[in-house]
Parts: sequence; structure tokens; C-alpha cells
Amino acid sequence: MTESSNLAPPSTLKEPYHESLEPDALRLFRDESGRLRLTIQGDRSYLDVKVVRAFPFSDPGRHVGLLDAGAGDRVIGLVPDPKQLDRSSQEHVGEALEGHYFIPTITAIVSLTEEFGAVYCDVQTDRGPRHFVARGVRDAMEELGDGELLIPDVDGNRYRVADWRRLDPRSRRLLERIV
Amino acid sequence: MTDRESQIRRSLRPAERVLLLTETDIDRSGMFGRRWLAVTNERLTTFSADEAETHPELEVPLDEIKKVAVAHRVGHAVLEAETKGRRVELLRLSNSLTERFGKVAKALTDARKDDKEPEFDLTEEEARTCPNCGRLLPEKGGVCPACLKKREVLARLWRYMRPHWPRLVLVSVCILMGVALELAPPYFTKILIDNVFEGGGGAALLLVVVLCLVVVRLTSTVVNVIRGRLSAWLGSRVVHDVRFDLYQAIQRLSLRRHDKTQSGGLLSRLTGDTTMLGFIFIDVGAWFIPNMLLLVGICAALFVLNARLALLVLVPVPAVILLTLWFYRRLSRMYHRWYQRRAKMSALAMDSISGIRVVKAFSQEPAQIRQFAERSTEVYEATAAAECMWATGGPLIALVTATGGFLVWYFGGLAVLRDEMTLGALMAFISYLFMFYGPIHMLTGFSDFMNRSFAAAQRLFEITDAEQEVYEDPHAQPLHDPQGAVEFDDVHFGYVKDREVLKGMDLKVHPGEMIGLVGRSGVGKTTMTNLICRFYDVTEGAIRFDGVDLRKVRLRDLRRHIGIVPQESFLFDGSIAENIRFGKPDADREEMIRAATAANAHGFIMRQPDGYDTRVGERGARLSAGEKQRIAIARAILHDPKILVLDEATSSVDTETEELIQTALARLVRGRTTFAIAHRLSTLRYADRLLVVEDGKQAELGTHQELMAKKGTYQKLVEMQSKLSAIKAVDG
Repeated sequence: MTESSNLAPPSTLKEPYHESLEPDALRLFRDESGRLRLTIQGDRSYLDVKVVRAFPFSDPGRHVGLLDAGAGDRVIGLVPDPKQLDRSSQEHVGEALEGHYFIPTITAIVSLTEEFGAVYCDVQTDRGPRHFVARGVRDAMEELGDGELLIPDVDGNRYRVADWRRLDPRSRRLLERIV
Repeated sequence: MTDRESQIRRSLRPAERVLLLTETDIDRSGMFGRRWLAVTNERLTTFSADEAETHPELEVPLDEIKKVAVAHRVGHAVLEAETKGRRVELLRLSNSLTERFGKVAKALTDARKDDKEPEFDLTEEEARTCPNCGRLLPEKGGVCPACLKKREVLARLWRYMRPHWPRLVLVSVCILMGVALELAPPYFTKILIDNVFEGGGGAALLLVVVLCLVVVRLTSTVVNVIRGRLSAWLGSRVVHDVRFDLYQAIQRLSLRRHDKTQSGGLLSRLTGDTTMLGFIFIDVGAWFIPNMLLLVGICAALFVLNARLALLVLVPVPAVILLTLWFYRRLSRMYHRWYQRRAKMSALAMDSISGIRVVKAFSQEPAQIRQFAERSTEVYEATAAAECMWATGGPLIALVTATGGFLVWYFGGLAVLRDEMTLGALMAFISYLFMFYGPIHMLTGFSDFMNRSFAAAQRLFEITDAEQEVYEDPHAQPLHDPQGAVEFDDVHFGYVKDREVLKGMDLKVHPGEMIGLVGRSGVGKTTMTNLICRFYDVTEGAIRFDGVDLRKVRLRDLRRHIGIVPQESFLFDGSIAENIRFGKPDADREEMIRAATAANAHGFIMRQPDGYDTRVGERGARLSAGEKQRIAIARAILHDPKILVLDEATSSVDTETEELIQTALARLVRGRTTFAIAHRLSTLRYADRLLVVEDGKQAELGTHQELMAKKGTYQKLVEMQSKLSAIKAVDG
């Protein structure tokens, strides 16, 4: 239930929607308060920056957006390729992204049982083993194309399958029950 | 308490008192794992699961803490503490624990605000695991599907059957008679062969036997017709009862649940699952029970005729059962795949055909055709695979089944040759044998089928048992002659737990006052109106109507006094008159015309060839946006509410229509407490006061003049809009 608007955001909250930032001018670092800080050399500075992915699934490594957390997540700009940042900024971007996203990727399915429409899953993920329950999983599951899946559990956690066709045969057979 | 927990307690300072020791499910390196948060009267600490570690990973003295909060990230959350000039990430947690740590954060923040020791109460959490079997529950506080066993489902189904018990008794009698009658003919065959042909019983006996056969056949036909008709009636009737209960439940279902469940899902339950349930009744009654009884009867007959041969018959039975089970399981999986793929194919076609204008406009027909071809190929492959399986498996099973027959022919034949058995007995035996395998096949396929039926029943009961609307206090007060004062008191609310939309909204509205809600999209304006209607309950704080908490007001009365003109006017397929009368079905025609006139709708309605009886089409498709809007206004006027919600009522219409709608609205809001959302600020010119919402909170509140003088957000908004309209004027 979102509110739709036919009005551009007010001028005070102007967002440079498509501004690609010049990587050479960017410095990202942690200040002593623990916040991520951004300086655009010769221009301006942001004290509390949030780093997000524009394409968290289809192109997670590139198109990194910088948001101004101190001003209601206003868009500061886009870094098309973070690898062009200096080493230290790159590390901070990587670390911030790592801390912002938590979508475990299922590497193997240990067991999968379905009872009365609830699916009990025991899985191995790149974040370690996990047990979860999904409900209405056939409707709720998102297919991202090329065999990539997102399986939501009852608590709103999501588990990713990179390519279900390339799982080991046993996992695939178990998964096929719900795909 | 786990070993690690007692270890952690021991590694804290002796003088410290542990106020809270609780566990998260993500460790420091971002892996699933265990990690503890310990709060003592002195500090906040976190401990890893590493038993060798006696020192905390992190520590923050309590008196340095200003605020603790759960910050929602993507797929997880972080418990953060804010100290003087520092922000410390205490620990990460999956979405499964946000509720618990939300309470921890609130307790800590509240305690720091009042400068006292925090008190934790995490007990309110609804059960996450089944108290019986310890299994994770599919929903918090829900029923455990493993412990809710079939017996309970059956008991509930029985409750639907009970009122029809006389017919049930009759069906049972018919079933018993039917089985007995079915067992009779082979026995007559035996008499026919042994006594008539071989024993020389003559034509008289032949006539008697044949007449008996005729009578048995006739009776069994009559009995079967009665049984079939009765169980068909019973099944359909009970399904109707269940469906009716289900529909009632869907209508009362809370909006939160409706948001969660796709409407397509609800519809399939309403039609698909209830039909499935019908199979239980019809097929258990008309199929399963008679077949079971028949099986028992045949077994008895076989053993009576010749026990040794009967044992031979049983030889291939295990193989037949195993093979059939294996076969059905594979087959059902294949059919399931076929079903899923077919659903995907129709979804694609649906989508593409309903969006055909867009497809054509962007000349994407070839791409759409290609996609459909892919899906259709998948379907044909799945169909072919399933059918091939069926074509192979069926005859194979028949072959295995036939081995029993071969054995009986040979060993039974030997027995007849040795005069150990009469020919009639052998013939009867063979007849029973053919009858014997039928029920066996059916029963093997049945267990799977029954499981699915039970699952369907379970899904249905899940809806009928689901939270009904928002919870109504049994001592809720009726509303007599309400004034229309509305108050938001520190209201917090979010549709999903990751995102709080309202974050401490305060607002006091006097009776009859019109409040314009202003702010960027997504700040919570529509949410506020949703809460006023109590479509959802606040998570924290309260909304009061005439000083009474909304949760203490009878829902029926509350809704009676609230009218909505929504953003997109939803009309039901029916006449204009029916739509205007929707909230007050007993309104007379004069009243209706007055309402339509006040809504500036009367004119265009009269210009329709069918006037007020004009059919509006599905969702009002045959009317323009402005026309639908005015009908929606007329509907609200007729409803005569004390509180009125106008959600961007003039967003998508031309200037002239907007004027018509504006004057209609001006009439409508008179004397009513009104909440109006509009992006075009000019449309709020009748508002008494304007509320600027920012980030789920009140940012500015006052009259147009006051806010302009304040030179804050509102003033900037107005300036920008006048610039915009200036541009429009130049362009236009």
C-alpha cells in the first residue's frame, strides 16, 4: 500500500537521479563516530552515507548507489564501477555492502518436507546451515530468470538459489517438489 | 540455560547483575550462528559462541547510551546503540528476531530516557515452536500442522456431516447392500455350472438361477442409484456449507491477511479446494468404503471357496501394491509438474493478452509469441512425459496383476482335474479374482489422493480460523451520536516489519475540522487514513475517536461513521444506483438523487441513456475517471459519515471536471471531520489546517497562512508548485 504521486519531489529535496559520480573525486571513509563518510573532492561532503546496490541480483558488483542517510536516504549519486575507486574507498564500499545485504544463497538442500502447505527446509547456505519454514511457497517464490530463485520464509527472510538447475541431484530433486 | 550462557554469566564481573541474556542467529562474521547479548546493570556486552572466549566481543557502558534501535537492512537487521558521538553496531539478526530485539531496543531506550535500570519483558512473544513436537510453526502462534492431525480435520468435517445423519444412515445401508449384492453373481455362476450343467438340475433350476441373477442385478442397480444420488447430494451440500463458511471468513478476514494472501490464492481456495473437499465426501462415501468392504467380502469368498488357491492369489499382491504405489507417486509428480507449467503458461498468456495494447504499442508481439512458445513447449513436454508414463505403467501393472490369474488357472485347473474342486467353484473363484484387483488398485492411489484432500481441507480451515478483521474488544463501546474528534497519540505503524511507516505521529483534530495532509509520497498519509478506518491496528500508541481508543469502539459503528472517497474509485459491476446505494442499501430514490446532485453527478447520469440504471461494467470500466469519482462522492454523501477521508480525489481529471469535483467535495465536507490527501496543494484550499508529514511524523501543522509565514517545508512546496504551474501555463 504505497502512495503514488504525480508530483516531482520538492526542490529542497532535489535528487540527482542519474548523476554518475566521478570515481577519482570520491573518498569514502569511517569517521571516529563509526559513520561512513563521503567527500566529493572540491565540492561537498556527506557525514552519514548508506551504500546500496542498484541491481542486487542481476549485477551486484556494479552500479553502487550512495544515499545520504542523514537526509532521509536522498540519492547522492551512482558509482557505475566501484573498482575504479581508490583502494581504501573500495574496501569501505565492500564492507558497507556486506553489512547491508543478507540474502543467504542455498548451496545444498538437506531435507525438504511439505505438510499441509507448509514447507520445512533444512539447507546449507553460504552463510552456514539454516532451518526455515515457508508457507504458500509456490506463490511467494520469486523466479529471477536463468534458474535463479528467491524463497521467502514465514519471518520475511529470503533465501537465494543461484541456479537451481546446477544444484546437486539430490537437492534438485527435493527443490523440484516446490518449484 | 545452555552451558555457554552459564559460562557467559560467570565471565561477567561478580558485582554485575545480569538483566538480560539473549541470543541472536547471526554471528560477528555475518554467518548463521550463535551470539549473545548480555545486558547488566553496568554495561551492554556481546559474546561469541566460542567457549574459549571469556571476554566480551564488544562492550558499551549503559550510562553512555543515548538510544538503542533495530535498524532494518536488506534481509536482516542490526541492533545499533547510539552513544555520545558514536554509533555502535551491537549485533546482526535475521528477520525472525526483529520483534524480540525491537523490544530489547525499546526497553533500553526507555530506560535511558528516564535514567533508570532497564526492565525486559520478552514474554509476550507468540510461540514460535509447537509446544507438543518442538517443530517450527508456520506462523507465530499458529497451529502446528504436524500435531493437528487428520483426525481433527475429520472431526471438523464430521461436524458438517452431522446434520444430515438420516441420509448418511441410508447411504451406509445402501453401501452394505451393494457390496453383498455384488458378491452374489459369481456364487450363482457356481450353482449354474455345478448343479445345472454338471449336476443335471434341469431347465427348471436354470430358470430359477437366471431369475435370481436378474433380481440381484435389478436390486443392485436400484441400490446403486440411490447410493450414488444420495452421496452426490450429500457431498455437494456439505461443500456448499464449507464454501459458505469460507466466504464469510474471507469477507471478515483482516486486511493485513488480505495483503499477505494473493487474491488469486483465496479464489482458488474458494473454488478449487472446496471442490477437492467434495471429493472426500463423495469419494470416501461412494468409492472408498464400498471398495474396502468389497475387498473384505471377496477375500472371505475366496478363502471359503478354496483356501489353498486363495493363498496363491495373494502371492502377486505385494508386488502389485508396491508397483502401483511407485507408479502413482511418479505419475502424480509428473502430473503436478504438468499442472504447474500449464498454470505458468496461462498466467503468461493472461498477462500478455490483458496488456495487448502495450505489447502492440511497443511492437513486442514477436517476443511475446516467443515466450509463449517456450512455455507451451514446456507444457507439451510435461504432458507427453506424463502420458508416456501412464501408457507404459498401466499395462505393466496389468501384467503383474494377471500373474495371479495364471497361477489360479493352472493350480485350480489341476485341482479340478483331480476332482478336488468343482468346475463351478473354479469359475466363481476366477470371477472373484477379477473383482479382487480392482479395489487394490484403487486403494493404492487413494492414500495420495486422500492426503491431498486433507491438505485442501487444512488450507480451508486455515482461512476460517485466521484472524478475523482487526481484533474487537468484547466490551467495545457503541457510538451514539459521535462528535468526530480524532486524535493521534504517538502512533507507530508499519505494514511489514522491515519498514515502519508512521514513527510517532501526533495530531489532534476538532470535530468538523478539515485537515489537509501534505507530504511526499510514501511518508504515511494514506497510512494515516487506513488507520483511522481501522483497516489495520497501530503497533504502538493510540488513535482516539471522541476520546475513546479506536480499539474500544465497536467496529460496525466506527465504519458506519466513516466515509471514504478513495484515490481510485472502485465501483462494483452493477448499476449506478446500486453503486451509490452501496453503503446504505435502503436509501430511497429521492435521497439518492439528492446525493448525486450534491456530488455534481446527477447531470452526467441523466445524460446516460439508461440514467441511474446504467450498468457501470466491471470495476466501472464504462465510465470515465471523473465520473467514477463523482459516483464515489455521491456514495460517501449518502453514507453521511461523521469522518470523511478524501484520498487525492482529483488526481487524474481535467480542470473542468476537477472544478465539478471540488465543489461537490466542498458540499460533502461541510460539518464533517475530514482528512484530505492531495498533491496539488490548491485542492486543499478548503482545509482548516494543514499537516505536513515527513518521515512518518508531524513536521508542520497550521493554517495556510501560518505555514507560509513559517517558511518551512510547506512554503517550499507551495513555491515549487506555483513554479510548476507557471511552466505548465507557458507550455500549455
